[in-house]
Amino acid sequence: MPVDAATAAVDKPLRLGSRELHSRLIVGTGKYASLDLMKECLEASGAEMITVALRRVDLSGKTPNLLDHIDLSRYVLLPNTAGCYTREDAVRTAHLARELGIGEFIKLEVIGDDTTLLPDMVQTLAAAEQLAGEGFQVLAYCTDDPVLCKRLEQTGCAAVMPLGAPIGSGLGILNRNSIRLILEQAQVPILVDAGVGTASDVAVAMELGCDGVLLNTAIAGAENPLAMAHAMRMACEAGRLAHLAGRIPKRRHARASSPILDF
Amino acid sequence: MTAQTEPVISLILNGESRSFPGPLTVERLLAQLPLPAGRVAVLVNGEVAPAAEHAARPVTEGDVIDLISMVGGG
Repeated sequence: MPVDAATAAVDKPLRLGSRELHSRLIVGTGKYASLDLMKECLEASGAEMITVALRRVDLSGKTPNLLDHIDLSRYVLLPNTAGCYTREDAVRTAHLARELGIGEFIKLEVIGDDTTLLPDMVQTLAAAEQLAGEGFQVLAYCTDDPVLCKRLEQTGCAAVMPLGAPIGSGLGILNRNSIRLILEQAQVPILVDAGVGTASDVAVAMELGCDGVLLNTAIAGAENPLAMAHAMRMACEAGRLAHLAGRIPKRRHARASSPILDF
Repeated sequence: MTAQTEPVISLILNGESRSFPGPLTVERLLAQLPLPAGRVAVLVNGEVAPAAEHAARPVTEGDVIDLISMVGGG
C-alpha cells in the first residue's frame, strides 16, 4: 500500500523489549461475534502483536479454541492480567503465561475499581517491579498521570501504556495535555491503551507522538468490525506520518494560501 | 466404573466437584481430560505447578485444581 511505503520511508520500527514491530497498532482478541471474524479483523488491522487473556479451560469441549484461529508465526502474543486486583494475582497470571510458553511479554493490568475499571496504581507499580525483575517484558496499563508513568518506567517496564479513557468507554483521549507531558519525559515507548472509540482517536494519539495504540472494543464492538479494523490501521499510519511530518503551528488568524492579487 | 480396590480422589476441578481414581498426579489427571490442543497451565491450590513437575506432583483428596489456557481478551 502507498501509505505503508510512505511510513516505511520516514519511520523506524517500534521497538518493544527485544522485538521490532512494523505496525504500531496492538489489538485485542476479545468480544468478537466469532473467531473467524476476529481472524479477519486481526489481518485487516495490520497488527503484529495481539493481546490474549488467560482463563479456565472449557472441559466440555464446546468452546472453540482460540489457538485454532491464530497464526502464531504471524503474531506476537501479549497475554494480559485482566481480572486481577492485586500484585499477587497479576504476578501469578504472568507466571501462568510463562507456563503456557507465551510469557515473554505481559500486559500488566491491575484493576482497582469495578465500575470504572481504572487501574490500582499502587498494586500495578509493585507488580511491575517484581515482574520486570523476573525478566518479563512488562507493558503496563496505567492512569495518565505523568509522575506515575515515570515511576513505572523506572521499575524497568518495556513500555508504559496510559489510558486515553476508561476501558471500553470509547471516549477517546480525554486529557491530551497529560499524554503530551508523559511523552515529553519518556525514555521508553508510550502507548495509549484503552478508551479509543473510533479512528480519529487513534490518529490523535499518534499525532501527539505516542509510539503506538492498543485497542480491542473499538473494533470488536463496531457495527462493522472489519471496516473499523481497516480504519484503525489507516488512522494509526496517518497519525504517525502526520507526527513525523510536523504539523503547522496553530494561529488565531487566517493566512491566505494564494499569493496577494497583483493584477 | 472404578475397581473397588482403587481409592477415589475427590477434588475441585475448574470450580466443579469431580472424582478420579487414585493415586493421582497432575500428569495422570491431565491424561484423563479432554483438553484442547496446545499447552495448559495448572494451578494446584492456587499455586502454579510447573510442567516439569507434573509427573511427580501428587494430587490428593480435596485439592483445588485449575487448568488455564488462552482465550480472547483485550
